[in-house]
Amino acid sequence: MNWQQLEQVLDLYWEGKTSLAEEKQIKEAFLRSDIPEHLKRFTNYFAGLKQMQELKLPDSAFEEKLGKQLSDTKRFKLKNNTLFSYAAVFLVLISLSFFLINNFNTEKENFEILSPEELVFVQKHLSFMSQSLAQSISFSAQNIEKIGLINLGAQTIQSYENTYLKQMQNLNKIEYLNQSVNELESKQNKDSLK
Amino acid sequence: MLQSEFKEQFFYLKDKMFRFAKYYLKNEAEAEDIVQDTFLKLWNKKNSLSEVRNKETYALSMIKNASIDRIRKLKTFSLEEVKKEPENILTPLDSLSQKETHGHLMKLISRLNEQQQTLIILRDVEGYEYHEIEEITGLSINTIRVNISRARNTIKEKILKLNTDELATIRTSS
Repeated sequence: MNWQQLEQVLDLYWEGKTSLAEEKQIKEAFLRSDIPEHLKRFTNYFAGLKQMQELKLPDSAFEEKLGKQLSDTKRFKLKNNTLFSYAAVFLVLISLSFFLINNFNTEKENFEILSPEELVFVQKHLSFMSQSLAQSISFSAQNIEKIGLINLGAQTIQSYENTYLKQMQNLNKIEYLNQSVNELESKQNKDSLK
Repeated sequence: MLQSEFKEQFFYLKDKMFRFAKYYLKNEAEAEDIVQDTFLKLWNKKNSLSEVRNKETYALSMIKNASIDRIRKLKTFSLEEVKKEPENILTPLDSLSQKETHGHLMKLISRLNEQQQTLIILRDVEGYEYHEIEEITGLSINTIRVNISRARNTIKEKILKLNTDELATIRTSS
């Protein structure tokens, strides 16, 4: 495409009436060396857009790190699911126990009419429930401790984040102060020259 | 979705996601953090990602939302104090301008309103079609067209004005 045609497309570009393909042609044209004098003033603008397109994520190991994190997320999720299932079992056992204890208290007299075999059966059942409950409580306590550690970790990360943000603010302020100092120095230099 | 499939479908977007986040957050480290968080969120949604029609615009709209949330969060850490000194805040365009030779003109874009800046970035830097920009920003195609046209006209006028001012300066000094 020659510059006469390109200039017509450029007019449409400023009006927002060009297709992506036409816009690509314009951007490529402004990388050429034969730009007419009166259009050279737009060169920096299109070159600037090109520069922005080339901006890349600075961390070259980003993909590798992220890959590891994706695997870790999967593991953490599995752990979490396990914790939830233990918690659910624990709740069911607690509810059952309360139900049985309540029934035992209110219908105490009924045991008097149970046969010895029936009493042994009830005793065995209650003993099994009691053991399961003790195991669940111990297991849940361990997991609750782990959750506590996770929360502590999250809090520490949060506090690091806060510190980092404060540091950023301070750095900005220092930069501003440095600029002011530089400006003052340059003014003083000028005054002394006068 | 396997991790290898996920990487193949999303990892190539990392630079685009980073540029878009940086445009909002004005800070490379924060932008990188947002990109990382967004990838993890996407990974957690891996089972429903097959229903997403355009994964690229979906990821970028997530970046947009996450960046806006982060800005709000940063504000709660009293960043307003720093904002009172606008010369301290470098937009990505400004920071480019300091590092690169074309910065002077790139500042023109940073003087546009926020919506117009986003649209120029998505269209002129990232090269998205109008319907894709609609998916990312949630704006109607008509609003997008009108604002891109206004933004480009503003930029053109400023370039021409700049050129006229420069010529006037040269004439005066000669």
